[in-house]
Amino acid sequence: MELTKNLTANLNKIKQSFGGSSDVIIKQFKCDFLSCALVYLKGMADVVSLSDFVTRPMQEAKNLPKQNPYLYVVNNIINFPEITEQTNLSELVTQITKGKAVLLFNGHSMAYLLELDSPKERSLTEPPTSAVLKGPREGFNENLKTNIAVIRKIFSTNQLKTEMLTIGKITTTQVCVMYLGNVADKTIVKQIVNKLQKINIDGVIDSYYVLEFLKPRQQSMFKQLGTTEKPDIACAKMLEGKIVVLVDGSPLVITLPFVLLEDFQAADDYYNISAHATFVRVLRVVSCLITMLLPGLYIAMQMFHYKAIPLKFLITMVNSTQGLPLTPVTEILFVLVLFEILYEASLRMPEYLGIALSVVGALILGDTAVKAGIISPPAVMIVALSGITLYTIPDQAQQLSLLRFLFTLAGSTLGFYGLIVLSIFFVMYLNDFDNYKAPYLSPLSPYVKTDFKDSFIKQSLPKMEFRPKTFNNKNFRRLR
Amino acid sequence: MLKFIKRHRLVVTFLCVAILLTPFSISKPAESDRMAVVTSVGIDKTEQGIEVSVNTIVPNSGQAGGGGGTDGTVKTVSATGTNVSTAFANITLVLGKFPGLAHCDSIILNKNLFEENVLEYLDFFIRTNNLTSNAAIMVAQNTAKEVVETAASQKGLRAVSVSEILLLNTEYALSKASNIDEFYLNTFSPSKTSMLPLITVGDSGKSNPDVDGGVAQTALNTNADKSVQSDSGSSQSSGSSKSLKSGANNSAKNNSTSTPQKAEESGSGNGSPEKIIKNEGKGVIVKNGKIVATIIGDEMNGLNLLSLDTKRGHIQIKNVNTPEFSNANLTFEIFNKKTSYSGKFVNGKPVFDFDIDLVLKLEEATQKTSNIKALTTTKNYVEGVVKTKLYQTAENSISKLINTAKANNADVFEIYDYFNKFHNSEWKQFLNTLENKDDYLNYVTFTLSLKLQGKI
Amino acid sequence: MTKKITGIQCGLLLCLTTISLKFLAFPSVFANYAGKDVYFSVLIGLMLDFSFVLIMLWVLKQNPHLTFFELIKRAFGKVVASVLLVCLFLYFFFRGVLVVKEIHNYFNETLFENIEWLMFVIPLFALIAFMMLKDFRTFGRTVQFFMPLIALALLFTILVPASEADFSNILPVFEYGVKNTFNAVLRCSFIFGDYLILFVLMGKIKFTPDAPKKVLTCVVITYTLVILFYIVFASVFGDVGINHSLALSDLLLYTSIITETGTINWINIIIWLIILFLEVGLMFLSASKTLTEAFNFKNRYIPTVLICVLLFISIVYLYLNLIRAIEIVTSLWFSISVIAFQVMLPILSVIATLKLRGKNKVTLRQVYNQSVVKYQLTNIVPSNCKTVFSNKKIKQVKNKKPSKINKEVQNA
Repeated sequence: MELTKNLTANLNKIKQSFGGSSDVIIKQFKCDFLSCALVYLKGMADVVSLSDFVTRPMQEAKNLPKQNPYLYVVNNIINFPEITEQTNLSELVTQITKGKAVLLFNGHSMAYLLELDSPKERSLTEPPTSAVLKGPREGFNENLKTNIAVIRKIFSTNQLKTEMLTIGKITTTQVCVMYLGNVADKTIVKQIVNKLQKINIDGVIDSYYVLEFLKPRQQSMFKQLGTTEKPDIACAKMLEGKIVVLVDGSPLVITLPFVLLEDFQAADDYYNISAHATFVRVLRVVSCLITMLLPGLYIAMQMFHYKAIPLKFLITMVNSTQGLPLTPVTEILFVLVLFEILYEASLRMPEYLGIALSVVGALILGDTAVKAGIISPPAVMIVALSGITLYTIPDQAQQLSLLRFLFTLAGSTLGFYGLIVLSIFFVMYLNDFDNYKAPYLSPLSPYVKTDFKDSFIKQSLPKMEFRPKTFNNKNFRRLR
Repeated sequence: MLKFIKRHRLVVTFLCVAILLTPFSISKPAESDRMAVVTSVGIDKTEQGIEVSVNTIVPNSGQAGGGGGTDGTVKTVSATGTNVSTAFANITLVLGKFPGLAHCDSIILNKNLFEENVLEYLDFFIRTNNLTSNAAIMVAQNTAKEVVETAASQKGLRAVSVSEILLLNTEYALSKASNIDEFYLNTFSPSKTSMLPLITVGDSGKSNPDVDGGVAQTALNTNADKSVQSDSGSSQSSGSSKSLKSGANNSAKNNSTSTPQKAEESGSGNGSPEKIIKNEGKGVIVKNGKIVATIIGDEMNGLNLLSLDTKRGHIQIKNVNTPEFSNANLTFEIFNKKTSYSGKFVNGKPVFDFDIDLVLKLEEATQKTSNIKALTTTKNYVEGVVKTKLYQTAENSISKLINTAKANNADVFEIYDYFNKFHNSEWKQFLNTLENKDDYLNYVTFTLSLKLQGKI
Repeated sequence: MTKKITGIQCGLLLCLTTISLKFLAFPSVFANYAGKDVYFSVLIGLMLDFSFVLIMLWVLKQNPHLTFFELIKRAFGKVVASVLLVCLFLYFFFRGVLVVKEIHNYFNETLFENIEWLMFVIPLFALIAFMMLKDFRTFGRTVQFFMPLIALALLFTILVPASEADFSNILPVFEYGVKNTFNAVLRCSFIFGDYLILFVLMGKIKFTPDAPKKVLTCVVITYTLVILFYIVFASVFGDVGINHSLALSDLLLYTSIITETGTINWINIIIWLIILFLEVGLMFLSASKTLTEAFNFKNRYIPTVLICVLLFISIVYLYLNLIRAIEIVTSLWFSISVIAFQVMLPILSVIATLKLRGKNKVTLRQVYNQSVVKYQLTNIVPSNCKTVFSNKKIKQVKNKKPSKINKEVQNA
């Protein structure tokens, strides 16, 4: 629907569109001989700026030209860098909801949008999941413009390309696809943009909504796209040839293509000595294996392979598990579930209850249950160790937690056989996975020699001449 | 439904497999509850048949806090059968569990099993897939059951690892350790000869360490004495260590029901001294599955010198008179030893040469009168009279061994293997000249090149 | 579009095929015929295999884009190609069955006291079916992923017993005669012929100039390690080798290092089981692909289900009995047929390659067929657009000179 020249009619239409919402402010005033109206949402627009730069100058304006006074007002009276014109009512309403103020004139069918929005936003603090000892501590926040600005600050180049889309019928959320034009593969960018354009959804609240649509395999439990809350990480990934998707309203930025190795790398690794980074990465791999396999191995050896346990350990285990009411399988599953409950409860509980409940949980699990002879100390120790190592790779915590259960089930039903079958299954499944042309387990399989310099080992930066060949980069050399 | 299955193939398959198989395992006890962990096996031949005695781990649940620890009760269980496998089957009935030989540390054989052919009693072990450990075979001077019971009465890890007393044999070779595969390899070799260690059970307070050829468990004796004093009269079982106190009564009942004779035999409840397993440095030569000779003392010393693997040992000489010593008995430690063999044919006859380099260090000199000069540490004592006596002692030991081997036609030096490998055609020619091909050892000439050096 | 494997992945798949069947039951079978000279029998067998690998690499180089079926079909006709593929299918199938039986035996002897039939079969079938639905590229990547572990396990298996082995035990050489050594090769010919996997991989390899070098390197290293293993086996067990039907685990069990660090041996066993499972998958995948090509199945589930059913029947019929399977494999008639097959296939490939080379041109009908297929696949145009493919174009193609036609075919 288009606007008319009648101010009152236009205002009525706008009021109708908002359905009598009480936070729609309509201020009518006079500018010399012109009747004007300013429409904005309470709390969204900067009222002080409106008053200083719009209403007061307009009200004080005199001797307006008779011919085309509206343009004169917009160009000379109002002191604004960004003013856009709009005649479409629905688009107008959308822009009002986005925090813009609308200036309407009686006798003129054009409305003027004033880029005034000062949304309430969080400061760029360090995200809790990516804390570093050294290096930048800036994080993204929920404002898309701010996030884009932060990335622009790092990339002072015209090669940084952005493609803006709007997704969500109701939320009309802005989504931005960013990439380096001289590095990223355009076909992948096209693929991503096409996928985003095909999303036909009511609303997008967080980037995870978008992520679900960008995943190549919908039902897979494995992480398929990278995420980060830090601009330095996002930019580093873009330099490797990846594409970044930012969603308005979410500090979590999506990076793709994604390979499993990325989650074993932390920002810290690039701001510390390489030897230590290598050591820590290897530690993460070992932790990952411990998390996934330790409970399964323990239960497999207990149930089927007592031969594999050294005699001294066997005696200790046999003494510890003597007289327990639960079978080994139920015991280990019980302890695993108990730990998961403890973890969930600790996430949700109020801070002031945290300490008390932690003590209770630790006492119940660690001490009383063992003393009462309900569970054995080795089981508690194994599951606790597995739980601690789970969070050495926080980005993979969800997957590892699930895998831990699966491997425990496999070990308890089939012993080493089950563990082996499941391992082969998962490795084959992941190897079959080409995630936007990037093999998921690269550079291990297929083996990419140059990419090994920044994989489980980390070489110093001067030695990393090439970008990762796993990603289809246009321009491989990054160091000359 | 089909569409759902098609879309979620993997999840459905996984769920089916999990649902099918999980119920089987959820109520299953641990394998260590279904299998009895056997640490030692003893085989005796009795009038009733073959008696097999096993040491099994009985979990000790009496510890506070449900904690672990390696002090579990080791229980001895015996059963008799027509052969080893039926005896094991009977043990299953007594234990209520299958005996698991995966952690079996030692197989102890009674000497009387070697009267005909010991291989018929070892056949079970070579065929079973249960025995996945490198179990050591030993011959018991007494009954194997006594050895196994004595092992059960030891403190801590000694109870589960009888072969520990043979561990030093790789360095000292006072007797040669052998596992079942090695034993079979030697028995089926052309020489058909193998060696096994001989162990005995003795009283802890009465054993005398024999420097020449024996190693007594003196450290163990001390501990055993202490434990006997603290726990005397407190237990009816054959074992009496502190950690067993809580389980002692229970195990006593079990022991008494399964092996009433055992309780009588050990009689520790009456305060008799604790028994220990002793490795006195003896070994037996087995040919064609029968014991043909026992090696002790000098012969064992000779074997120690000739062995390729050993590096240590002692040589003692008596009544030495030198400027430093008068009528002294000197004990030299073999600090380093290098032995090599070589063989050749001379006029169609095999000549086997032992080449031994010894570095000796004076360890102890016992003499009635003290002489300050004898305390000099910068002197090389391996010279003159001492050296001559050392040569003679070494040669005597080796000669005794060779004579024993020849007398029993026991090729303990693997001469047949050596010549067969490296001088095959000549060896075959030589054998063809013999009336009795098994008698080759008597036609082999042994030569010895012995070099002695002193270590300052 | 066929997902292709790299040269190194091809080499690793060949390594995997070589490793399987040679480390578990068959050392004792060899020892039964050749005694202490097992390593010599293996050496002869592998040398023959190596020569065939070289022949196959030459064939692959000449026909980098053709599958084996295509090659034989063009040279000898579709019937011959189908028959050969069916024979290949049977070969791989039986080999897979043998590995399955070895796995079951291995489990029963080492890891489990007694593994229940249902427990063994259900996950195995699920895994095999899953593997058969994948392609060689996934397999190649999986093998590449596990290769460091496999290499470690191989080295551990060889070096640890070797450190305590008395190598003089392999003397004297040919103690039981040279004839027995060759007899062992003849009787155990089934475990050789690993290069036959290259027939299935034909047309699926990214044949770069250095691919043959990579394949040969992998092959040489693997063959060396296999021969070393047999030397160590003969040194450690000597004449008693016939008793050790699980050579791999028995070899490690009787070394003193393992006695003290028992857990490492079990890790080694687990890695070996991974190797065996991968080998099972590779064999059945090869069987599935050969069957698909032979009968031109459109749906990939059909050969998968068929093979699973056949496997089930063979397992039930032979009731997971490895001894029975070994008896069949080592029987004279079977051995001779296998040798004939192993020799015949490379020779036929060479003849086919030379034949196609000699022709030097492809018929116009073939060009037409290829171009039609190409247009149909790539130019799926909507109805409102002009048709790119028209009768005029066919005529133009037909009238072109032969040299230009060849170029078009090569570029197709």
